[in-house]
Amino acid sequence: MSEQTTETRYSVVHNDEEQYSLWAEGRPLPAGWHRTDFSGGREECLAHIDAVWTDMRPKSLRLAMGEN
Amino acid sequence: MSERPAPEGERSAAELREAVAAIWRDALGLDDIRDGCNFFDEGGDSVLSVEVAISLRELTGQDLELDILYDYPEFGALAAALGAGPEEEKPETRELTAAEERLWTVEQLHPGSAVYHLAVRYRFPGGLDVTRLRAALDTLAARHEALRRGFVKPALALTARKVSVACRWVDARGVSETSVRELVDTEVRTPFDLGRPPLLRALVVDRGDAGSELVLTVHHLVCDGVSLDLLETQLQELYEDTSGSGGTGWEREPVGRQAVSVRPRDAEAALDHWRTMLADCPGALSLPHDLPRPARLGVDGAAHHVVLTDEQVSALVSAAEEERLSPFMMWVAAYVTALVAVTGDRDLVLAVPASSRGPAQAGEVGMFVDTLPLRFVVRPGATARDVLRLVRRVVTGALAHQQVSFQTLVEEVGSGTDRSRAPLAQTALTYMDTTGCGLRWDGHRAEREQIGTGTAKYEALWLVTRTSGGTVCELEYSTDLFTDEAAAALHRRMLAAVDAAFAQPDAPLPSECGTDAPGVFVPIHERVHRQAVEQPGAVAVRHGRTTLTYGELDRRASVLAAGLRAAGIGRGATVAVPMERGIASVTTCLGILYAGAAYLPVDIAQPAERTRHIVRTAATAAVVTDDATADLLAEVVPTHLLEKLLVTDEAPMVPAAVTDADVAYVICTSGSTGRPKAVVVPHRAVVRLVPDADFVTFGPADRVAHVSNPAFDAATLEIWGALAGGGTLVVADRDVLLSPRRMRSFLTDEGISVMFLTVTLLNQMVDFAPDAFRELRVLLFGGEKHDARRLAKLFAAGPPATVVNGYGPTENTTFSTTHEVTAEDLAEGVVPLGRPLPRSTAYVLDASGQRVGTGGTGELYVGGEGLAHGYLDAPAQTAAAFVPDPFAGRPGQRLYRTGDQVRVLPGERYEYVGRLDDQVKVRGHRVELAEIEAAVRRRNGVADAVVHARPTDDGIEILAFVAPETAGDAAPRAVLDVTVLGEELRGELPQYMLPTVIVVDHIPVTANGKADREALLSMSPAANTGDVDGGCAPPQDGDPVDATVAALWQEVLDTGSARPEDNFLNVGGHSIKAMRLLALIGEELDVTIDLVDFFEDPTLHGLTALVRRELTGDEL
Repeated sequence: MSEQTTETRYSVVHNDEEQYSLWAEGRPLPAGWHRTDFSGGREECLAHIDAVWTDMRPKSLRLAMGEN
Repeated sequence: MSERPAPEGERSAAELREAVAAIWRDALGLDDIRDGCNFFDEGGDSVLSVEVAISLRELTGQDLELDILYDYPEFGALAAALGAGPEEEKPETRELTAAEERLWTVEQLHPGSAVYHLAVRYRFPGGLDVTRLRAALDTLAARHEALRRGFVKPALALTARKVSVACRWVDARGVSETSVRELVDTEVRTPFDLGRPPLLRALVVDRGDAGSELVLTVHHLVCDGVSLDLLETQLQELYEDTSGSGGTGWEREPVGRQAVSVRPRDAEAALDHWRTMLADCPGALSLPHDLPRPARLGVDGAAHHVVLTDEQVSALVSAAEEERLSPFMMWVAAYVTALVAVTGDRDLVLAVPASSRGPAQAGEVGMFVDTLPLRFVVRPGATARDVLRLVRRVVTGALAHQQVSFQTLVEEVGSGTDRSRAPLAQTALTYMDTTGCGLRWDGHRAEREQIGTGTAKYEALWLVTRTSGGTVCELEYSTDLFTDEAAAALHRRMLAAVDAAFAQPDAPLPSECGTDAPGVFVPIHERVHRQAVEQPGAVAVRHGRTTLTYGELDRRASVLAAGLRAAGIGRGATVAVPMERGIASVTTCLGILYAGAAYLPVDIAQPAERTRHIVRTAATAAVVTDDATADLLAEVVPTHLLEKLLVTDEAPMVPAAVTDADVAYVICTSGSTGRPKAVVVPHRAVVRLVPDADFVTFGPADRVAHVSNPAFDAATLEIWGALAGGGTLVVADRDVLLSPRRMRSFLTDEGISVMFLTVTLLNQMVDFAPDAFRELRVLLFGGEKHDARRLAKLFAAGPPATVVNGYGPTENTTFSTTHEVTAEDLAEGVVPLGRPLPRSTAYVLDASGQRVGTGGTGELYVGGEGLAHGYLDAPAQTAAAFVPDPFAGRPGQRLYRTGDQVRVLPGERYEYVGRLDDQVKVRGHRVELAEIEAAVRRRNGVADAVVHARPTDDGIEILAFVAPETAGDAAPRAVLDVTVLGEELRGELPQYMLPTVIVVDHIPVTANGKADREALLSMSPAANTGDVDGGCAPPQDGDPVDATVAALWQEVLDTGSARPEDNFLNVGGHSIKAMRLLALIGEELDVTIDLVDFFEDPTLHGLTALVRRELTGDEL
């Protein structure tokens, strides 16, 4: 335990609706959620999400609107 | 004692009876007259009735009324009235058994109903021998004491020595099916006179070549399922036995044997079992009914039938066999999974019948059934197999302790005082196997068919019957709660849920979020449109003397939608509605939804810059009612004038079809980053609140007050609750909200039945008009933590029928949990947040994400269909607040972190403890102190600022401690002008966010470098408020009016200072405090001052002048 920081590490995760969130590393991920390959501290993960989550509509809504 | 005139000659009762019978025989042309014969059913008419009455006068020598046959149409009753009653012997009486007492109680509550009639039908290809049938029925009655039993007040069972069973024969040859159905319905629904046994009757419908039907109707007080089997078997023997010997090998049972329940020695232990099982059990079941719940449920009902083939139930059967469950237990498990799916409840109680028949009663007809409440707590993630095992455990436990009667349980563990719900269990299940049942007569076997009696014993009762033709599932439902369509849809959803659950018995139950339920999603605007189709002339919105019918609302919204579409606004767009609440704003919101777009309500009372900011970030267009607002938004988004849209040439459009994930509205709330954040709410979240939730239901008779700011999400409940339910939305003007007196008149004059108030407004009302809510059906309050003292005062003054505490953040659509407040809550000192809405969840988690047990404290996480999509254009904020749900039955669900700290109470209820951050609620509005702090710091001349919220009697008070910039060595105060600062903040922040500014030399800090709030507060009290020169005593001498007004001014502002030129709004006053001040002045000096007038010149001097003018009656 020589590390200075004990900050929890998180994974950036998303569900099938492509809604993003954070999940602490090491905890079993709930069904229906998928880890991306990005992990890091809380703020890093949130910054990453800000960059990648560009269309915030749930996927089902995007698809439904695309059909119109 | 007066002597009755003796009839001519001395005649015994029996002779008189025979003489009366002779008159009937002659008049009606019948051979056989029995007690049950009804004069009019047997062909008597009005002319005959008079003739018979005259004959009876001659017979008795009494001056009988000529309409005596209308009073006593039955022979037995008539004979008794004439003193020739059936054998005069006194029947034996005894006390009721516990099971009888339960039914008897229901009969007293709903006299003359058929709710406990058992009615069965048998169809035969040929005719029936009615004489043989009558003889067989009479023999049965002679054999079984229960068939000679009646019941009289107060609560006694009596047994007659001899009775004859009424058996009507009706010639229905060539009569239509409908008429036969009506005849049978009347037969089975006509109430028994419980005091006159037998409580059994028969009807034979002779349909000629179409065969005949036998209908038996018997009261549950003397019969149960096993008894029905016995009756069938013996009736078959007696009817087939033509020897006239009255059956073979039948030992007449000993007279006087009684079915009295015995309380075994271990009754106390059994009671303990139930006390544990039922501790804190829920008092309600969240059935998705579509009619408003009446104050008290009646017993009118109907049933929906579905027949399942063996193949359709094979998955259920094999899973049940694997777990070694009896068919009864299997159907209990099926019902539990169905209820979890359709209600979202995971803690439920259902009643089942349990036989109390001992070996000695094996061959006895009678009522040997009691009711057992079964409580099931289905944990999140449970599978269908888990439910099977749970049912096995609960049912065996219940049967082992069944010696305690249901009635005793109600008394011992009864749940609450909610008179609109049955105690302990609001639903029940029965299971019967009738594959071997029926009547075999003349070589034909007639199956037993149950006949509905148009009643409902529970809110919903599931009757499952295994027959040779498959499994018949009947959902008997209260027609007070369900329309036929809603009940049918519910039943189909239940069956689909059972199907889904047992198809994969080892997968978690399909989530309580009923999106996998079949059926097309009906968005809220479509529901309003349907109301317009059904009742175009009904008033949809009312504002003062202006009303708008549903037809006109629908027409305007359609035209508006067409206009928006023509402007390129449709699905995916967000349209700002910067309007005060009123007919225009409601019409506009509906029109925007009709166009398929989302609306963004904007509070026009807030500063222009904030409005522009919100509209710029969240909307693509705006609909406005005036040029001033159009100018305000001119550079921001394209604006459309409402009146121009309403006269568009476009053809009106039908409401747009949207999915449940389309956005319905966007609402802005205070944001901790210093800017408001926009919450994006989908359509499914709206219908999950109204009309689907059951904490309040809205019907056409309702008048729903529209008092909430449209930009506050309680307006969602008011507007769409009223309009989707077909009721009237009644708009309250701002001045109504500002005066308890006017509010009281508004409630009375408008006949308001449902309303929502923020806790602050409720408190104000309770202080000055605690009895104003008496006539309401439902009063909902929320937005802040309740004040127990005010609630107690409300209850003492006469509360409305139902008071509901509604809790929830905007991110989970108005309410997350609701609780019906009871007097018991107040006595116990805890008003819980309540339980989640249907299709919603709530969990209390600790810092590591683990669930907190009963008694523990943690953060409340909420989920389900009420969840918003997130914050507009704020992915990081959304991801931080909406997190994966590890408990959901369905994969990929999210939970919203409320930031509210709550304590877990027994029964999955929660008590609010506090915030985990700096968010506060001010008059129902959510306020991030950081946003105010950021605004204060942006002002010129401010070096530093700390914003603090402190609770007061009138709600939260916001204090801003401001350290001015120092210009070199100059006195700092020269740089900062408090009045200017106040004006500037008023230009940026909405009124409810305005702080009371307190200037300090510097912000003191604690040892670890944070602002020392305690030190700041010690500098605060009102002496420093807004005035750097310190306080100034009001004129104590001189005019008493001046002195009174000044004293009250100081009291309300909690200040020692009161100078005539002080501006109320600059010294910590706001509208709520102003209402309080004016109400106090009204009490003290007996004058009524309007808030509007006061706000024209909100200085102490101005107020005193107003009061004086009122007192002297000087209009100038």
